[in-house]
Amino acid sequence: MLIKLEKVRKVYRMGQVDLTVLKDVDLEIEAGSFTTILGPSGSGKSTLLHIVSCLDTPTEGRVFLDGQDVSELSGDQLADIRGRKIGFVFQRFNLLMNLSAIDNAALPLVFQGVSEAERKARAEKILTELGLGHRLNHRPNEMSGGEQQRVALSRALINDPDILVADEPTGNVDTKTGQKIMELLASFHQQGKTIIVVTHDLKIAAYGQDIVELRDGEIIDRRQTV
Amino acid sequence: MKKVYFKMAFRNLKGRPLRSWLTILGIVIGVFLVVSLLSLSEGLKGSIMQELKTMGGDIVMVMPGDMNDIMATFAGGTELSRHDIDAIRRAEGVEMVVPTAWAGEVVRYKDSSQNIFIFGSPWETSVSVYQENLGWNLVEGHWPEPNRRQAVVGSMVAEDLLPGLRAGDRIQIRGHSFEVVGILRSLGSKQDDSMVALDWPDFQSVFGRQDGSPMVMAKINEDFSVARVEANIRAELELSQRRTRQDDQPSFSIITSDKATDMVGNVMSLIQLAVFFFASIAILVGAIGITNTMYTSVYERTKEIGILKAVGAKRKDIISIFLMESIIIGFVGGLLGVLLGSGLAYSAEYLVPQSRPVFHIQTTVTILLIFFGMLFASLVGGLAGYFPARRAANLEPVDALRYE
Repeated sequence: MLIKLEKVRKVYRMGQVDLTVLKDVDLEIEAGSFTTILGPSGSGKSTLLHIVSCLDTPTEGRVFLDGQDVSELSGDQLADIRGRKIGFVFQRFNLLMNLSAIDNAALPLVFQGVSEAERKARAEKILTELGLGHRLNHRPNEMSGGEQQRVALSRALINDPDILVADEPTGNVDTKTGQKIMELLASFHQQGKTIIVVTHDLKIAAYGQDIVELRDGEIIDRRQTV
Repeated sequence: MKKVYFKMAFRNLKGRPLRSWLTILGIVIGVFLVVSLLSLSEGLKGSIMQELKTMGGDIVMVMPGDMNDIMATFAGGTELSRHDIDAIRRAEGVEMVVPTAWAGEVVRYKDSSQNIFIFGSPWETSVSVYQENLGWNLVEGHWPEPNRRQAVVGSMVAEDLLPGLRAGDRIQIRGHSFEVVGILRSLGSKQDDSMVALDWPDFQSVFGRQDGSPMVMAKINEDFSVARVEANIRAELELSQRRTRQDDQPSFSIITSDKATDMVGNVMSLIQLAVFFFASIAILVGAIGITNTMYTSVYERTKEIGILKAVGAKRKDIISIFLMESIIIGFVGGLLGVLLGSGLAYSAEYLVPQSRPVFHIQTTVTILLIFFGMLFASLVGGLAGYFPARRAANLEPVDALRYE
């Protein structure tokens, strides 16, 4: 078992009102699986992804990663786990606009204390594998949406993480590019990585072997396709 | 601190050049003020100390007015009267008395004319005091004789101010003609080197003065201690002033070499402290500018901070990146401020003598001051950036990522 959520509750305080986004969610994700979390906007799927990926902590309940309870770790401890074990792909790519493709891809290594030469070498290798060998020194605003998302993918993969999480990874690209990105994720899954994708799109969700459907902060359905 | 943080910080600053330069300007102005004013006052202190050093230990100065009111004495135009001078002469242990006076006046030589510092004292007594106690030497000509309308000039007068002037030439001051009989070897102070010295009666007739003197030098007999002669002079002067002026509160100051050095040292230190204090206010304003810019920057880059945190940046990483930015601002501001400040101080050294020959400033820009200026500015940058950097580091990654 790679990830385990026990009675996870997340409450946001909006002014005077408490908003419960996740209601006692139990979830287990196996190592090497391809899980998609499906749900309409406001269902709590992004919050669930943030908690699963150590970006956020639950208000109540426990989260275990590799058997370690991560629900009460400090910000720096969580950052360390994210840096070593988890790769992120965001809907809006979230690249740093004043960095080149190679510097964006190498960014997580900076915080792992990797030397500049090695950072560059590893970033160049991954970008080249993803077909961006000719765009290494281009800035994000000089690239297409698909190219930007591949830079973001390179960044997510550069630490060779166990888990790759993607929040609506196809949300900002056209259908064809979206399809390519999902195929890339599937190929990473083939290589043994655990993939967790959040989407509101049924077609995208269908790439997963394990589909978790969320509504109003609760898991309403879960089905395995394989 | 990692090199890559420096590169990131530098790139961020370059990404908003106008704002960065304006913020840097705030620090430049502060450091510029500190460096230029401290250099000038240090130079001023040096010039005065140099002046005092030339006054030997066995010479005391007597000036009118209370020393506690020193500014009034310098500015006031009060003088020691002829009776006062006689009283000093009568004091036991005083070997020789040299009344002096000075003024700035235009000196003409052939076609050139310059505003020059004119110094008057009786050749009769002063020549030996100058040679033996103040270390005057001639490079050219001979020492003047009393009552022959003869002048001696400082080395810079012949070299720079009235070029071509030689011993034996004549100069004109307010229509009076004098023979320059000697040119002095440099005394090591620009002020002394750029003066024209006249005989006492000549000085009085040129400037239409009475017999009084704003400063009297007294040479002490070597068998007497300075303190004892000082007491004797005091007693004689008090007696004389009571009698001649019917004054219950005699008013004069006796300045020995040690006392003068202490006094000038104290006054200058106070001035420097005040200068530093006021210039520091300018730096403080610059620092507030940095804090403001950095808060704006944190606000604008909230999302970026979220991304950095998502990919593994810890608190100290974020603090380092933002602190680096504000330290760069401080350092660059300090560097430019030091350059401009020392530039101004040096140009003042060349400009001031042209317009005010009465006092020369020798600028002293010390390595320590340069080093301090830059280090201080960097430190100010770091301090000013600390709270914004801490705010950045404390952002929750999820909140920061959600920020648009």
